[in-house]
Amino acid sequence: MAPRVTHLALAALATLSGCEVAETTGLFGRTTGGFDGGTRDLGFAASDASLGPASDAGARPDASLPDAGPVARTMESESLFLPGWDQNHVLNPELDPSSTAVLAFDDEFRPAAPLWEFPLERPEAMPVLTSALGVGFNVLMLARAPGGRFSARVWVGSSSFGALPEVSLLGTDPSGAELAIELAPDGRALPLDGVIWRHHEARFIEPLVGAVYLVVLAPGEGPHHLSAPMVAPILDARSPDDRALPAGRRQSDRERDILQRAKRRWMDDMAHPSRPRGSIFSPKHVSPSSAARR
Amino acid sequence: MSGVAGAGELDPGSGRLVLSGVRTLDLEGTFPASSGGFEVRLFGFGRELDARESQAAMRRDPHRSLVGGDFLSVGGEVPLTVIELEPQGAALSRRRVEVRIWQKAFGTQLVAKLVWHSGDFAAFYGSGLPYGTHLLAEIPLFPTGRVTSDGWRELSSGAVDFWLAARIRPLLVLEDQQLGPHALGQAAFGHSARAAVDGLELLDHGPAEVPVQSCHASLSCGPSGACLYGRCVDAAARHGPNTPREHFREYLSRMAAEYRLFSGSRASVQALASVVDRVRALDASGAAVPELFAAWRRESRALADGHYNPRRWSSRWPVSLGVCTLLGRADLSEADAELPLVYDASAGPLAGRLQPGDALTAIEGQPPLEWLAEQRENGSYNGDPRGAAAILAMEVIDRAAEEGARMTFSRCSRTDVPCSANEREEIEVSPPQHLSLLWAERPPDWRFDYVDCDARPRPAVAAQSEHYDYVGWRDEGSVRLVQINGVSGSPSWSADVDRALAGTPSAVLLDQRRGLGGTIDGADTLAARLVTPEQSFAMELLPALYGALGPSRSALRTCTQGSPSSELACGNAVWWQLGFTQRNGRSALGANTKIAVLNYLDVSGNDYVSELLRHRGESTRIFGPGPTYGAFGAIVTLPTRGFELEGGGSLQIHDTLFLRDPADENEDFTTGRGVEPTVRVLQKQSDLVRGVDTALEEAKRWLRE
Repeated sequence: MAPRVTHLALAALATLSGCEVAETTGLFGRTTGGFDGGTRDLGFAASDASLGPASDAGARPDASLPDAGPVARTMESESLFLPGWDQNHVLNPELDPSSTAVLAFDDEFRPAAPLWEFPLERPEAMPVLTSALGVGFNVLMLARAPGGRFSARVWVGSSSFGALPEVSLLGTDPSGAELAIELAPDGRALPLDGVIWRHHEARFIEPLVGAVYLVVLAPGEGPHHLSAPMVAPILDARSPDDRALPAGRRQSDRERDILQRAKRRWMDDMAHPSRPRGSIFSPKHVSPSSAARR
Repeated sequence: MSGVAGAGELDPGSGRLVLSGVRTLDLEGTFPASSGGFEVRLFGFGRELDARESQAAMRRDPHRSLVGGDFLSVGGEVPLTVIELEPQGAALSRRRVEVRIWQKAFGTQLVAKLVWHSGDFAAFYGSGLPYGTHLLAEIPLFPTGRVTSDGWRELSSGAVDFWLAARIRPLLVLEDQQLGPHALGQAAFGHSARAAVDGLELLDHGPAEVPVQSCHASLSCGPSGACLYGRCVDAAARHGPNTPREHFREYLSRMAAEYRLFSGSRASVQALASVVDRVRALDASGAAVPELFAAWRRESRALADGHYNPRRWSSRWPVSLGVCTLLGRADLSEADAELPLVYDASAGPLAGRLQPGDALTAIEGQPPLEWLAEQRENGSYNGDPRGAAAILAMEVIDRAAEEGARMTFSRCSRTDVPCSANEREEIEVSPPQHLSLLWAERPPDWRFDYVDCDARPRPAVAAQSEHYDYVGWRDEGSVRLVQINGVSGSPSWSADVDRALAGTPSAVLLDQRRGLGGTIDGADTLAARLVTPEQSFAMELLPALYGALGPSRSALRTCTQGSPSSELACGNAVWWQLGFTQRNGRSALGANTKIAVLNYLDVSGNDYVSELLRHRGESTRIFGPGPTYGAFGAIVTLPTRGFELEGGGSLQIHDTLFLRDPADENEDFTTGRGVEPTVRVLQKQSDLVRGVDTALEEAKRWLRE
């Protein structure tokens, strides 16, 4: 009989190593391993290449480096959660891809498996979601529309000279009209470790209704990156940047594509919470082995 | 936040961390790194790295290292690091110890966990296969708030009795955080990403606090302890880490804010404040932090959100004793009480003593349902509280085993009348005797002896299948018997539903006692074949909204109805007009066709099916032990944060308004109130012994009337 393992990460390890784990039942019930069968090295460009695998295993790398003198380093304190968490209406600002509150697709709008990274150099102390294999990086993030004036922002990074990503907020105004609102770069840009990060932000004086979707559409070859999404009420005084909701423009075909796929994904999740998302499952109370006994 | 008692401090002159714990590991030198009383073992994909390979993970860079000149660079190709914290000797076996370690992200982060295994853990970490070892407990390390200006972050286990039950040596496991999302198929794996590790230290917080003793439910393990598989362990290992109290408070605030913002369930959000208040009151009373994690699990049941899953702050491999029980009527006992009845039992050492029809009469001398009610932090059920007993009865054996609770079963070999006291056989089962093997060098194989726990004692349809996508049907006289396990909505499932309901059966029995939900398409495919447009019109699935319902609802309805598709943004609202999947037109059965529905475990998609069928009125009867979950909406899984093991929780992002007709302006949201049975029926013990399905027979009787 195949034992069940509750250890999600070990299931991935087994999959990546080619081991057969017949059945893995964790919080999400059975999983069948990672998306690529463990065969793809996606070639993440570590921020510090010297930390990557040593080419000459066994030798002590950098052993010839002399001991350094004093290091310029100080101790600091950091709150458990980053500033602003209590105002951020984005459900998954950490961009943890195991949460269905952020969904990524390629240019064909097939589910894409991005990298979830913590590079040394990033625009804010928040995780980074990076496109992996495949062409295009289209990401939708679920947020709740604040009840009054609000801002929406995100950092988007690109290391190629292709077309700039489009960033938009999809929502519904109090009249019931669908809006697709562009979040243009606001001029803040950071070149970090070969990636040009641009900050997209817009501030509005009127609310939207229900949930909103922060959408990044980055076509073509990447890698593309995004980080630190935020949709939050505006609590400070009126700013010249504040504006009325723009006249509704129709969603582009690509916006509509990603939206429909995301909503379809959520609508297909009306199940027991232990059910793994998006796959046929074997619930906790079921064991194939026992059927034979009956 | 410097100045933590006993923890290492930066030397202002050198800028390096000076460790001061009772035992430290500076990660200087070569593999095998067994200095300082530690053993560091690195694992690649499918095997443990040898010393030469491990050595390659040591980096010498005095400008970047935190302590000395070397640090460990793992993650990516080296996804797992296991540090045996006391591989030899037992000097700390009865001490209370805090483990601290520093990491710095270079592309990935490490999830750090304090883990206790029985048996040979190394084979498991090499292969991912759980043979020869059992993971008894694991808790995450949490950030202390101490960081350095160049990006090092400190993690801590909190103070904990170092050895589990003074028997099991602790491990520190560092795991590439990419592994969890990758296992779900939702993230790629960056093989070359790394995280740096340095500065491990153990801080001695004094003598261990938990008594070294076996335990069961009625024998306390003290204020710092909890019972786990028959032995007293630190409550942190059972419930969650002993974080600083202010961190827990901030974390609680964040969990509450997240739920308030995103839960679609109106009743649940209303209940949230009192849930939080009860946890805060316990906090104010001075309860230990691990108990506060348990309290959140326990109290959050009151949210009555069947899609809610608390996050994980501790974990262990579940043990199944190989017994399936469901709530039934023990009519062969004089009391004729509602008790968990054994439906199935494996041949394991404990289960082998039981047989179908045995009734669980007591746990630790207490009525089982009362005992279960006191175990709310453990069960998996978060739906309508009125439905809890039936669902938790399915888990009662394994819950009792975890608590080391003694169970008493009653067996009656008669099937006609209740047994007298002399005729009744009492069977005492003492899990601690069996579970003591879990703590042994070679854990027994029967711990994974899961049994199929289905509320159908025998199949209603010829070929029973437990597969989720299953649809079975056959005619029995004038009654069409249809059996499902959920509403998957897949093309093959939908086609089978069409075939199952083809023709014009004069009566239908829908057996969805394993109704694990599915999709809107699936629920619509089934319900639209059984419910006429006159009986039920549509559903509005609405997200959380600010302000009065009316204006927002009006806006969202304008949006959802004004578009060619219900899949526009529309604030994440969904307008679900019943029958939208019937592209060739509705072909529901006649309004007066009798339909009997058999319920037991029914959630989400199957909640909707039950509610829609209820709208048929007198011509439908629902037979079951209690209400369905009452989970009317879609589920979203939550990100992992702070103190959590991989695999965040989940919540429901909608609530639902059922509309009888186009003019219906119903504002009564339904989540948290499951669909009650028209006929409350429990499996009779006497029938179970004879192989008779009580609910099925009762439903058939009604259909034939």
